[in-house]
Amino acid sequence: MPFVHPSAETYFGIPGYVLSWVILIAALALFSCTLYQRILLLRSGQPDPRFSQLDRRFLGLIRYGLIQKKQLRYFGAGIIHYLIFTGFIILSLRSLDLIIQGLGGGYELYWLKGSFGGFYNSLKDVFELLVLAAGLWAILRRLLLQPERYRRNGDPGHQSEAYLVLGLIVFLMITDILFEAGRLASTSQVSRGWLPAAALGAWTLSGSLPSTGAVLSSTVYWLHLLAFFFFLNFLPLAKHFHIITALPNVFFRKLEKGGIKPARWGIENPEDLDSLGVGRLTDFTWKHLLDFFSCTECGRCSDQCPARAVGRPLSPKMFTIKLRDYGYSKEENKIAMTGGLITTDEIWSCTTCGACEEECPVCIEYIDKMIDLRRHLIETSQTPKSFNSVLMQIEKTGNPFGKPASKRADWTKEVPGLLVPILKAGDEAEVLYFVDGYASYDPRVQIIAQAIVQGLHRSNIQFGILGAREKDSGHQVRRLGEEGLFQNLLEENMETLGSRRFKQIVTTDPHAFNTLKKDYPGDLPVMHYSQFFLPLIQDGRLKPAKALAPGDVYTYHDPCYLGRHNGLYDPPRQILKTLPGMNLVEMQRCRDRSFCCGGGDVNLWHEIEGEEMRMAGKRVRMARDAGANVIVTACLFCLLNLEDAVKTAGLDKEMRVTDLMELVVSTI
Amino acid sequence: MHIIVCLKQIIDPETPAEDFRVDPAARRAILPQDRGYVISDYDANALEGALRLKDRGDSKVTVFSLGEERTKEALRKALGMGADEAILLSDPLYDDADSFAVAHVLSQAIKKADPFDLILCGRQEGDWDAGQVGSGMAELLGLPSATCVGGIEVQDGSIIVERIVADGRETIELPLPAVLTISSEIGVPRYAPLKGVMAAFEKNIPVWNAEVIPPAESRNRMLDLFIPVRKEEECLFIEGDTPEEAGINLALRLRNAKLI
Repeated sequence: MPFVHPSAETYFGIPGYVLSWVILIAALALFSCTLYQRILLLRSGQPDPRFSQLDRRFLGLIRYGLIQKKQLRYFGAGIIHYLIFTGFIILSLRSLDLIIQGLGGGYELYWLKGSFGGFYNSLKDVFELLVLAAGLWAILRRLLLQPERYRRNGDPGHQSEAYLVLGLIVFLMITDILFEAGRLASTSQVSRGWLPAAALGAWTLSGSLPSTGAVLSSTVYWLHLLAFFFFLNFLPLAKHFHIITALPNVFFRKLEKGGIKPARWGIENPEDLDSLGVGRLTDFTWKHLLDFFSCTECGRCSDQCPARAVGRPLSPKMFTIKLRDYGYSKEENKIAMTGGLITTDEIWSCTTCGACEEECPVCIEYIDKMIDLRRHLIETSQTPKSFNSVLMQIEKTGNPFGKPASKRADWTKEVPGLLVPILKAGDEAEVLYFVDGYASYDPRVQIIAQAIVQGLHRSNIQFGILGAREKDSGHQVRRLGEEGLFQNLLEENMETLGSRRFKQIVTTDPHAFNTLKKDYPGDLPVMHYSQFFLPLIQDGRLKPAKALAPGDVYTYHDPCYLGRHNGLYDPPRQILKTLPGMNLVEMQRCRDRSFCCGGGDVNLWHEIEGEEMRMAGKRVRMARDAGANVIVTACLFCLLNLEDAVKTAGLDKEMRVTDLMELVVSTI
Repeated sequence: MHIIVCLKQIIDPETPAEDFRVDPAARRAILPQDRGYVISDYDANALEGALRLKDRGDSKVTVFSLGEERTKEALRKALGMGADEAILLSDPLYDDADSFAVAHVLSQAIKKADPFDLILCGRQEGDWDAGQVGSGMAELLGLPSATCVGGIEVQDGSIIVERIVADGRETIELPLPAVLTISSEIGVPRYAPLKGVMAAFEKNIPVWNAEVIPPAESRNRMLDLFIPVRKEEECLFIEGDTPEEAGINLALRLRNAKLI
């Protein structure tokens, strides 16, 4: 029996192709209406310049969008997604073909005939089987394994939606396979190519009446078409909008990690703004609204989030979901967004460590959003009281301790046999050592500063410090949302730096390093000490000679603002490997998956209720599990937190924490 | 409701004692040059108390301060925290005013301003610690007052306040208008974002001088001003193999010293 295309038949007196046109027009009209709403929401956002460095953007689009580099960081789920995504690309032509077939009463695209048609049909058939398998695998995986990141206590997400969409994908594959199987059963078109899926379908139909094949083929065609357009209209309603927005979101991604967006793009002086930060959904930039559209709810952000891991009330995934649902539901006038929908505890739980952003396959940004929410809290005096005194101290004295500026260089008196020069206006030095607040005043951290100046001295580097003229770098202040105070600190520091001549700035603290590099204007030649000392050790100007104590096993903890935000994973490790007798092991979470110590930013001064254990406590456990008894870090906040955690856990007789430079100097 | 807050700008109380000098002849304290000035702590609590009342309803907060030109910094900070208006009382004739003279100038200035419902000030200042201005103002204005207030509830035409007293707390009711001196229990002062403080530069802070508010003569006379001899202190770390043992050792030591 010859194959008759379902759209060439007549149903209750209506030609099939007419039905196809009706379905197409209705579906596209509905889709356009929903999309228009989404575009309106997007346009209501604040400006955000995302059209610079197009070459890097296109490269990122290929790397993260098309090759999907980040997907395979979760291997099992990554493979499934990879198959479905590739299938989606390949089968989109098939979908177009099926729709056009319907509109023309069985008309086939010219170029899908002949040898290319044969090749393409074979390819799409193979991918239909693969996508079918991947879809079923994904459903079973969710049902049987129930990965924690899809559903956490109190974080329902949209599980049912995931099943619906996976079911639709499976359904679309099966209906197309059966449609093609019906055609294969009734014709013998060799030119259509090798069709394994259709053959498999035809095989399952073998033995049934010829009319069964025809009826089935016709039925599944219409079901396929309806399912396809239902899917299309379902996309912009919730998480599967990412199918449409993920690639643009990747294209418009933030190119430089570590820095913080200005209070408002295009406004030089924050004082010119009526209000700072984000109090309403439309205070977010359009890119940040696009982020909400693009979340796939894969939960990788929450899975990596250290705040989440210790029971703080923050789940990056739910943060995005809540804001997206809020935007779609137009509940803006009913619930306060900042401090209401997103609670203040959620906002202050974030350590800005960047683990979520590192992991997100579609490049969703969290840190800038958190800072914008904090800016609003600061402006409306909703700051936790614990920050007040710190901010007031910094404002008053330029350091979080409120100690007099005149005592800022007192630590240098303790460096044996070495006079640390304090640079005055007009002075010149090869290296300007930017000490920052903690290393200037905290007795434990002063030891690191002393080790650094000893290292500089032994390397015969001509250097100097700023002494009383140095102010806090403002890293924490900016991340706390106090933009005004940050700008003040920045101006004062820039004025001081501008009046001294130097080739290089070296910092103790990765946070100061990051903010001088990313938040300060101009290209300050700034390096973290681990970067600066590595070549000096490599070319022998600084020689670690004494062997480390035998029996110690070291592990290196990557500080977030050195590693994830600045990509400096190797220099500290390379330095460690030069130390005689070094026995270095890696923790399971290391490098770009390092686990935040919990205090690098504002959280050092603030307790979050509901925290089950300290992040640093968890990190110490990880180091112990790796078999280490010495944790080395290159950040003073990590050092303070981890040392505290070691003591709190009662492990101070078994484990210790040391700073990289402290360790290096001990071997010289 | 119009709430008046009186605040004083003082030298940072965290300034080390050794940074102060005394001019015995002039009987004056010579303050260090490189230290900042801040709003006296309890006055900041008073402002916080006023702002919390403002948060709850439709209130206006006006801040008064008696001081030098630089006191405008403190007033700008108060505006940045959320106060609506600020008035500075400044004149060389106000110099060396004692608590009575300050209370006199402030109360006359408050009388001259808009009608008010409540006056708040700190229970005592962080520099001289006299704790007399609030009560003095109440006396001069003929208003009921409560000192060391840690909580305020506004009712129709009156307020219920919780006082911090030696053996606990007491709750009393006062008719309005009234004067309250505020203690730290009212709550931690909110942070004044720098943007708000900078915006306060745009606001006019009127300065009233002795022509507007004539000074009063001080009733106290300084006989001597000196820095007391510093007591020598010794810090001891009580050792013990375990925290429990260290605790026992500490208790024994305290008992031997007849402290417990």
